[in-house]
Amino acid sequence: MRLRLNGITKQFPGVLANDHVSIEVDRGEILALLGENGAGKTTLMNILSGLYRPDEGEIVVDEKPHAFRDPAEAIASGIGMVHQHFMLVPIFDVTDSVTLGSEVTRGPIGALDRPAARARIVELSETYGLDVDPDAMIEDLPVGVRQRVEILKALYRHSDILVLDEPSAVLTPQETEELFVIIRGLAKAGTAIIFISHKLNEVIEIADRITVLRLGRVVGTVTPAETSQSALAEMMVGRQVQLTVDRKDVTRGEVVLAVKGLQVRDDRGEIAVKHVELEVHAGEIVGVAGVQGNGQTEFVEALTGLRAVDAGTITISGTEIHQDPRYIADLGVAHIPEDRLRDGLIRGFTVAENYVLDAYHREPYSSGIRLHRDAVAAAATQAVSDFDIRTPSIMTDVGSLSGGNQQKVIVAREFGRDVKLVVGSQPTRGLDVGSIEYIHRRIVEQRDAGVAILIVSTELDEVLALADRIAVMYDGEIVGILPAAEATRERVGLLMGGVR
Amino acid sequence: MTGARMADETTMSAADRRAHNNGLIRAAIYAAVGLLAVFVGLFRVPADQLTAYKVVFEESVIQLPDLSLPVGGTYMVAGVVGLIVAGLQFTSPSSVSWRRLMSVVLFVLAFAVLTGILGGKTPSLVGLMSATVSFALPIVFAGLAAILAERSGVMNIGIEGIILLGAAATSIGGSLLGNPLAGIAIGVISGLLLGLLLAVLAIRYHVDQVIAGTVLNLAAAGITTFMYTRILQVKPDLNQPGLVGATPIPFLSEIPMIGPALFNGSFYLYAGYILIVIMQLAIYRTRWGLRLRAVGENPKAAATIGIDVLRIRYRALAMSGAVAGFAGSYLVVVSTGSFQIGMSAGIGFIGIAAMIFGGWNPVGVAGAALVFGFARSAESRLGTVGVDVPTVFLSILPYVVTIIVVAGLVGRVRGPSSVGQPYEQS
Ligand SMILES: Nc1ncnc2c1ncn2[C@@H]1O[C@H](COP(=O)(O)OP(=O)(O)O)[C@@H](O)[C@H]1O
Ligand SMILES: [Mg+2]
Repeated sequence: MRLRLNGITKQFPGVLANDHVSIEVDRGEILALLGENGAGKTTLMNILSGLYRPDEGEIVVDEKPHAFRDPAEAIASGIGMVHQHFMLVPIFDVTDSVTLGSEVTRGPIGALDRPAARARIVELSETYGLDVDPDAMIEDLPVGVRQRVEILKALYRHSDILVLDEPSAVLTPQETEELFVIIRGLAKAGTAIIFISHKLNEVIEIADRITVLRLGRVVGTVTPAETSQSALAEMMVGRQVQLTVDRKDVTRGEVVLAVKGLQVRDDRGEIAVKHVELEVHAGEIVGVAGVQGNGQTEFVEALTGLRAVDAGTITISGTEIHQDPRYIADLGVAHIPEDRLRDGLIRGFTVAENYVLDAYHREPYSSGIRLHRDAVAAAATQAVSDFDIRTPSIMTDVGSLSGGNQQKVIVAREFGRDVKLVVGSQPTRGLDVGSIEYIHRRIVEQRDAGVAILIVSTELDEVLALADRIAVMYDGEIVGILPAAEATRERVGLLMGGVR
Repeated sequence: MTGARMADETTMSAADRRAHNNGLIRAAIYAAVGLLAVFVGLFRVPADQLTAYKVVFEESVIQLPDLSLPVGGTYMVAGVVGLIVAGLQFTSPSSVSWRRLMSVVLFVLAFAVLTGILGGKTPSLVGLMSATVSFALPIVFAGLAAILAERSGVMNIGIEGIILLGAAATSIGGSLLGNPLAGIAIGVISGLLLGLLLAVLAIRYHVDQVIAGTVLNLAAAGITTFMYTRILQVKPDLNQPGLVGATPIPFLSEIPMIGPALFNGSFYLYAGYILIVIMQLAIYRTRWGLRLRAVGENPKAAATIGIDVLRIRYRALAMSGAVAGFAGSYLVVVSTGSFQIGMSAGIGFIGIAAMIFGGWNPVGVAGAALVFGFARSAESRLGTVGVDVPTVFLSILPYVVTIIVVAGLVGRVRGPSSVGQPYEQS
């Protein structure tokens, strides 16, 4: 065996992230590590790459046990890792990014030999079919290309055990196919591959063997031939899961959200949203699909008043809105932000305080300068039971709840108003399957009750499962709008890659 | 033309419109200031008033006649330059490149005002330049110290205090060992140790970097004041480290105007040149510099490929402290010959401003330090020439220039992204 992990255990404060996990992978083999969010996949790979020290267990490379004290030792044993969140310096160019840590130098003081380094990268990218401009700045590259840079980093270090942590999360279906071609090529050349995902169809397609992880423990190892998507889902979650969402037929009502000629800039001042035209009617869910970083963040921030509109108009039920989040919220807009701890909750505040963030300044929660803590507590207690928020008490710091329960606090608060429009950005990012089902059910309930819903998500499956109409965003533009019936994976995937 | 402009405005986006309006405002300011300068030149100064700048020292080998400038004419030239720049800015208001012209306008105006204040006198331009460089030099060292720390991702607010303590250590060490060079070595070593102290606080104990630096500054002021009044004043022979003299470079130091400023200094001046060049090359062209920048931008990324983030930060702070200590020693063995209370006089903070103004790169810091050094030397020169401007105004000049430069000219520059955040190793 090229690599074995034996009985790896890692305890974080309050979480047993890995509980005696054992996996193995040989040369030329593709092992998929499947598990839902929080199952402990990344932790296991961080141990393998020397970033974390395990509490128990050993790493065996070529039948020799190792204890990696730092990433340098793991790299020396041939382990290369493409992290879930890319590990790149935005203001470096590709050559510097790839060679950093094993630079090509001349002379005793370590002067960089850029031409030699560049030549080496050109050679590598030709050998493995990884098309990258060695002089491009990382911050100017789309995520798909950044991922290639990450793979190049591993190949440049002669890694023959390659770990890819959720690599498809940032890709279109077609880009994922291209990645699979590269992965298969590397495996054929003898590289041992560990492919991490929580997407069932992908692991069945690419893997030679699939090891399923749940709550830090190995549930079992199967081959694609002897399993199915539903069997894998059951292993992954520990119970039967419904892969689709139930929904009623609702006739859609009048236009609630109308966006005309919208242009928005990002933090660097570049145009991030270009001339977007979109309408969302009462009683329908419009899903905005697209690869991360194509202007979705800025689009949603403009809709919710968090970012200035550069040109164009946004109207909600006929009222044109400006950069004023409270006014927008009071118009009946519910916002589920993509980063719950940045834009949705205040860490360090209690569940109750977070629950009234939108209304603390009004009756019954306050009058004059006085805050009525009893009223706040009563409302929060009701919300905790209505929305099944698992928290020790309403006075618990919201930051200490699990991601799923934090999201429920947000949903409880936002849906607690008189809602006309829901703007949900990555509403289930990083959540476990149980919480995903719950949030989806709540969103569909709102739709059935005649609310207009806009869901922006980079998870194509989520958009396909929820939306009545699907708009695809690419490079700041809406490149196509399809009714759900015509939105196949392939068609939406092509649009996500900018092919109209 | 007006019609076209109007049409433009309706199709422009909000950000473009903002840039456009800012450009127009800037153009209007240039025009107003330019007109004012022309007006002053034409009507407010005696037509025949001259300012005769000396461009060589009396003892110089090459002697040149004074550079006599008519005060009114200088104002008018400055005014016309202001009007031209206003015109350029007005024709394409949002073009960013015109913004650079702001420094040109500021410079000619400052020079005109200076010439006006000095009207009828014979000030020494060459003296002004020499003083500019000697004031700039410690700011350069402070700025380089700041760069070393921030490039690694740690803020060093404590440079001011390290300079002060480094100066005291230099003076006492030099006096005890009877040799200014030994004093300098002691100043540098104490700076290095103080840098390491700051590193331990910031890196090991995650003390907020602003607070750690501020505490160091306050402690340095207290400790040195105490030492001065209780020890150095009682035993003055502990505060006589000796001076380091100038080493003129043959021929080059005789170039009129710039020779004495650039090529007739102590070895600190030449050390400054060498340090600027070495640091510029080291940061951008060596393995060490690449790793330093990576750690300052994204320490986690650096760690995942086996770079020891903390070690790089410790070393960078040690070097930062050593360079700050070197700046402190300069104040003692070149400027005054002894330690004085509060002699760092904000140099550490101005060095940090120079780092920002210079875009976190050594050559930029040198340029910025010259601007600040000029303000200081103008202050001291004007005082000695005896112009009738109240001394308070003169003595706040360097700080006012610093504020204007940092707040107005720099705009948005981007420093290393991880500055100020502790890095947690798991
Ligand atoms: N550095 C850390 N400190 C504390 N808890 C952590 C840390 N990293 C991960 N965890 C926790 O460990 C569990 C497993 O996380 P992770 O390995 O990231 O899961 P996965 O990659 O499968 O989604 C989660 O409950 C997560 O909150
Ligand atoms: Mg993960």
